[in-house]
Amino acid sequence: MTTNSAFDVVVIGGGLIGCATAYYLAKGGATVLMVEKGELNRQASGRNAGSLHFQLEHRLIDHANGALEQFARIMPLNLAAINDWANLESELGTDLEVTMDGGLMLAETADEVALLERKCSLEKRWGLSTQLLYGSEVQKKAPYLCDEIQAAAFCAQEGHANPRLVTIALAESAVRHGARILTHSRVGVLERTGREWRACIVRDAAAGRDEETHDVTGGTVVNAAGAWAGVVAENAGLHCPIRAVPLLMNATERREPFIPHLIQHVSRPLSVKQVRDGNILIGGGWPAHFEQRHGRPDLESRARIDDQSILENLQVAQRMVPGLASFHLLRCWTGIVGVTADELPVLGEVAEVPGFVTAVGSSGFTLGPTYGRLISELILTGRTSIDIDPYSPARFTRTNPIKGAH
Amino acid sequence: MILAFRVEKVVEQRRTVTIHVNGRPLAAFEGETIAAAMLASGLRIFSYDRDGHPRGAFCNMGVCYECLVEVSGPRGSDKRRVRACQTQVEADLSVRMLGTATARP
Amino acid sequence: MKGAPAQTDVLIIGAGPASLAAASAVLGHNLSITIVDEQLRPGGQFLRQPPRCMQAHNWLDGRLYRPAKRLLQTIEDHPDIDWRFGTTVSALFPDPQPPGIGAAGHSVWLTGAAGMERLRARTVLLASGCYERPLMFPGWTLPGVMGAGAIQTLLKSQQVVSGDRILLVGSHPLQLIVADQILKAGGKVAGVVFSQPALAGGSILQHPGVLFSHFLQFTEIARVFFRLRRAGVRVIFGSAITEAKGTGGVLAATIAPIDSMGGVSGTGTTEFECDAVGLCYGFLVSSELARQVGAEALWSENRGGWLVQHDEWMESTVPGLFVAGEVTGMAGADAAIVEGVIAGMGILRSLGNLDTQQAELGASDHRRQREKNERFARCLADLASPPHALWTGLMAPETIVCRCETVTRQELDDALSVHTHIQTADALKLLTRIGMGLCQGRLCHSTAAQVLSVTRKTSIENVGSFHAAVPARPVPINKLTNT
Ligand SMILES: Cc1cc2nc3c(=O)[nH]c(=O)nc-3n(C[C@H](O)[C@H](O)[C@H](O)COP(=O)(O)OP(=O)(O)OC[C@H]3O[C@@H](n4cnc5c(N)ncnc54)[C@H](O)[C@@H]3O)c2cc1C
Ligand code: FES
Repeated sequence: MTTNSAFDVVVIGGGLIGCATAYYLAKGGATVLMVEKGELNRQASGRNAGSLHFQLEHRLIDHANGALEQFARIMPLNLAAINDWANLESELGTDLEVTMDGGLMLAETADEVALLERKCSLEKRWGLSTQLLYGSEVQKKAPYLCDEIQAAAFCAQEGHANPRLVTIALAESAVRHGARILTHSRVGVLERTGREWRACIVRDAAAGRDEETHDVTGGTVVNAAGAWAGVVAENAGLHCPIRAVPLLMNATERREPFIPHLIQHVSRPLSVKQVRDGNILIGGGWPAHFEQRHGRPDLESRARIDDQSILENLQVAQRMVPGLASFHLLRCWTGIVGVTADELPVLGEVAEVPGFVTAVGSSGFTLGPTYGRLISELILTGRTSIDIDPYSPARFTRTNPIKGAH
Repeated sequence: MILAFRVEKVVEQRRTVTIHVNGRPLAAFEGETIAAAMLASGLRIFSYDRDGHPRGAFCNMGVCYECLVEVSGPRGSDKRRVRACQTQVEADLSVRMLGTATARP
Repeated sequence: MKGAPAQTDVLIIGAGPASLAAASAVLGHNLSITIVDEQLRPGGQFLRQPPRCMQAHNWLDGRLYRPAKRLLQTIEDHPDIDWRFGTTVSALFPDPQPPGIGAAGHSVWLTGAAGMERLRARTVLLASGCYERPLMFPGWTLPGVMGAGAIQTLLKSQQVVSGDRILLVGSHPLQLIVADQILKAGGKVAGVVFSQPALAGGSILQHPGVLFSHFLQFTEIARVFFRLRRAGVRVIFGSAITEAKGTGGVLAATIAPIDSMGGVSGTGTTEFECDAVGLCYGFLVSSELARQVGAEALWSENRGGWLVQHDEWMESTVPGLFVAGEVTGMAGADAAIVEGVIAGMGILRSLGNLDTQQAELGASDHRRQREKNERFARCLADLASPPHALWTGLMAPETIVCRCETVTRQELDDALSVHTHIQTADALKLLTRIGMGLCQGRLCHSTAAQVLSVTRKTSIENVGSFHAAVPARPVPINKLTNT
């Protein structure tokens, strides 16, 4: 079916990370095929909250204690992402509703204030200046917040962009630079033959034709399959310890703008923001449930909503932003994100398996454009402008990169 | 043009209540919905859309939300957004239409 | 938040004819029954009642209403039913630990004036009816353009005539009944415009069985038709509305003849002076709650969109979730009553109150009647639908498809031509915001799907529906948090 079936790079996954990688690679002159099993931007990248968080997030700092230092190793990526986001709209020449008017992380109790202070001093050491606001200073910055907030960490560059638009814009720019995109096509078995990877692609049946299978080859494959990255690695006979986690999002009706910032909480899962259209998005990482299939979590169907998660998420949001009380809740949905045990992303390749590059994990909306840029640097030049060693897949596979090769 | 009207002859004596729509008093009957009271007083416009064009009640059964208005009790208390077609009038209810017109007709 | 959620054996969503019939069937078996409806009194849309303080003397005195009215009179205020009026079922969830044994369970969010309450139910009957399917044409968002059903319910339950001169346009014979009711209430009907050619009504003669079994319906419609004629109302066939004109509201509307392709060429238009337009092109069923929990639904253009599939006991593919009335396919009030009884028997059987044989005994007469109703409904659905091409053929580029988010036809066409990867309704929604507003896509979902299927030359099944998300209706946050 394809006129050409040999590419410099085959990118697996049509989410933000896959599209960003394909874009930077194509722009750099590589021949790229991106393969997506469903439609573009229909998984985590099109279902997330769109927060650009550069402060250390709640999930990293809460209960972290001694591990806080370990989690803080994400900071170089966060700092790079600030620049990438500031330039992304002009880079792609399109409106992505990028807003960087600042983000506030809130603390209600003395313990939380202490945690916030510890976090801020750590961030300072890594080079991110977050400003601590106390009592009435918080009110002055954000009068729509409740009175009980004792302190807040303000990061001037934080904000949000619209997940509806970003991935699609990257995909289209990639195509403009010559990348090819196949949707409704799943990458199955991956085999290394000589210096190339051979990928078996199964295209869904559609009106008037049956399921089709064909092979393509790539000098490099990029595993940008998000929550499915573990499955893709397995198809290559490799091990990538990505856990799929289903999360909840909520959106309200549209109203006049009144929340210019990204709002987070230091010890509760919470993100609140108002998008350009006026809807408020409320999330922060409340759990959903996988449907079960043959006794196993089913990654192929939408995760089921947990009603208790909705209620608790809304409670925290309304307590922080009392003005939300009368807003109509319009829509709840779930998305599936891929996470690692140490909360850091998996970026790069291992020496034993050349040409198999992974890009997955952590806050992949915020960091996705940066991952894409760094991975393209790695593939095109063999070097990256930021040291990605701390995120190497080798940290999981140092002893056993190849599955079954004990 | 008289627009919508009440079928007075079939309805028994009813108590009247006064509500306020955009600050103007409007006579209504007990048991009427806000939408019915507005329509029967010649008010067809319930809101203005994102482009500033007028909108009116479409389904009268709570589905389309085209009749969404902001209501409040005495002195602005209990402010909330409700569907005018699903909400009965009460004495002293204030109704505010949502959105703004680009060019008022 | 309150303590442990309350429980009920049978939760019935909607209080229209299907619901009331099911409740009567289930009563007397020592089961707790809860009926929930957004309206303040039972009856549904068909028997939409005025508030108690507004008793109208001649409320729905037509012959067509008699069987359903009898049912309503016997059951309204029944003390063994827990009636929840002014209450919305905002969401339906599978309940992993159903109370009692023998049936799968669900839990729901009930939201009303007092806030939100969770209720666990051993069985649920979804009898949530339908709403008008809008036809989109230039000017259809002007105030004064309404569903014919809106004009009718304003009359039935509020004794308000929606305009001084009302034009009815559509394909469904209901518009004749509405016109008749407007005249009786002292209003003026500018005209009744059917999309079908005049002879279409005659093709019913090809189905003599249907004509015979539903004789009352046909004679009543014929009677109304001649009454309108006598009153000097223009009844026009073979035309469709092409534009509603006005600035602050509709002041005039044009119609034009439909050509052999089912489109409108725009020549030979007629203009009507009118201050209200009632659209009567058919209905969409309210199957969102069933689809929310994954019940199988199949598309039917002429019977109401995504119809919930069910077995011979009216149980959907989700165990413990039953369906009756329009959600299974548009068929009218009498058919809804029959389905309600069968669903009632199905519920008694699934809860172990009746064995299969006993339930069959209670259902068998109704099953026979249901077959006749189905024949009638299928026949009526085809007769009463506009030509397929009309649904997407009347819009101008700047015509709004999604009222809530003001998404125009042009924006959809642009998105589809630029973003060639878009194949599904949900992907179109994510990119353009169509269906993201307060009506949650109820008004635009079928048109969006049709535009997509026409553009991509694929079926509505491939395009799919907008995902039926929680909540089923927008709900204020402070209701959910009970603050
Ligand atoms: C509810 C929610 C809220 C979030 N909020 C934020 C936030 O506010 N800020 C933030 O920074 N991050 C957030 N995230 C995380 C962020 O969304 C993800 O980290 C990011 O989108 C990951 O991008 P991705 O491209 O790896 O994943 P995805 O978008 O999931 O893309 C992976 C793609 O790979 C495809 N695929 C899988 N297997 C195959 C195969 N074998 N062949 C072909 N294709 C395949 C999948 O279909 C999918 O489209 C959130 C996540 C969720 C779920
Ligand atoms: S008119 Fe449609 S919701 Fe009120």
